[in-house]
Amino acid sequence: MNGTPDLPWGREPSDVIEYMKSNVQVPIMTQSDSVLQLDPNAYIKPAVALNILREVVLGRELFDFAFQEYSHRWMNKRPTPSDFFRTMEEASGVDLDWFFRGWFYTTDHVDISLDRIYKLRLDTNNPDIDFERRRQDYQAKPMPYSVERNQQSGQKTWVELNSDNLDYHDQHDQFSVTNKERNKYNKKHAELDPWEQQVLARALKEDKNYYVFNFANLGGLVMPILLDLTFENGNTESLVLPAEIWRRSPSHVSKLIVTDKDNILVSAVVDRRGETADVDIENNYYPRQIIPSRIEAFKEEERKGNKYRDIMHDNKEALKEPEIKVKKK
Amino acid sequence: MMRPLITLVLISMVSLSLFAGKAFGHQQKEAYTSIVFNQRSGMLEIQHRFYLHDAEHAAQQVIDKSTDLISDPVGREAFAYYAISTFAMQDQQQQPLTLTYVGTELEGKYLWVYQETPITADMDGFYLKMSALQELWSDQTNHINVERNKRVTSARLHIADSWHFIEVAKPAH
Repeated sequence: MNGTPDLPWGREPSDVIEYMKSNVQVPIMTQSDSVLQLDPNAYIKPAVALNILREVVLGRELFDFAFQEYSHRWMNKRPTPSDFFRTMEEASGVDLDWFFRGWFYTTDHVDISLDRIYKLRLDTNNPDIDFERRRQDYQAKPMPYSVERNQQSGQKTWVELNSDNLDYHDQHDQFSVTNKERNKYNKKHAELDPWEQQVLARALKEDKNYYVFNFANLGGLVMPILLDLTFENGNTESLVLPAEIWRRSPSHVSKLIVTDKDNILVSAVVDRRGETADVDIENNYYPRQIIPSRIEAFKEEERKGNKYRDIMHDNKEALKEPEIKVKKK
Repeated sequence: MMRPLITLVLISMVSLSLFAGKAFGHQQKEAYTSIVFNQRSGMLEIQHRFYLHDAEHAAQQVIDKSTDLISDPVGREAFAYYAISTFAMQDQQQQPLTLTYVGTELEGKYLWVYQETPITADMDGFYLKMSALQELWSDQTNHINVERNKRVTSARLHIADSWHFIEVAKPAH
């Protein structure tokens, strides 16, 4: 067998979603007589939390080191949960207060929504550049039906039929640049320090894409944002925005992501692999996608594939020699 | 040499107890039912999720000793019919709702049983009963989530519970 086997009976984030999104829960850190149901609260949720801490938050190397340190320090002693929390933080060197608070002391769940993405472009203040961009934006808008149908039917305007009536305004549109605007810009540019002029020139040359991502934390539980981006040219990029992004604004945050000119964003998805126990995946996609429900997917096609085989049962079958029928000649 | 070995064994034991939980050794004695308003299809979708390990134990008692849920679709169907016979829904006037059986499927350590019924205008609350496996194990808990417009109302039903009323969460404004 190559690599780590896929064990579908392990404790994965998806196992705890139904429990964590319900409204009949108590925190993990509840005195056991008051726990409503021991199994999801004391076994499954902590196991999933530690799994996420290892695979998503700390990474295996750091988690394993800290976990080993905890075992060393508390071998043959009687640690309390606080001892575990403190040791994991101290040994990993990572502030995990937010993690232990959210997962062990609250009944919040994970639901991070990617609400909107805005695209921005650097204004140059140079009328020869900015006016042309505005003209392109204007021309990119859908043509009104009246104009389109007039064109299709071959109707011509008065000035098209009578070219001697053409004047200055027919040859210059609202985006035409005047010397007055050029002079104003040149004066402003000349007043910049040399280093400012260099920065501006570089920014104009690079002409990068600026995307503002708006996220909402609907579930209340603070988690890192695992972001996958897909670009028009087929490139993809995975980013991890650390949980500290929520520090000053726990319910809504915005993140600016700058990409090269050629990397034009077409879609983004949060937690594509379902690693954070996010209870609602529909709001993870931008633009939104239709996610079939479990029953809709079942009706569409009965699930098939290797993981649905019962290999233990099938392996019990003895190996047989194939029966070969003798063909009649 | 000895110290790393002891550490490794300790870590393995702790990891096993934490990550594997009770999955292998014991029955979980817990089932989840999700009742979801699917406005796109106009159906109220009911998804019962049983631990396969529990279902296998139960099937041998409530169906037949030789019932095989993993490789025998007929055994699975038999268990599904047992499961849906233990689940019932009534509207707010306590009139029974007719639920259509959709199917059953295996997914890793879970056995799913599906039912559905059309959404009607007055579905702002339900009387629910879910007693699957409780006649076998008195500590069996059946967790129900009713979800409309991303908002969830839940109940945990035990053997002593009869009809339980759940008010469906109002849409967020």
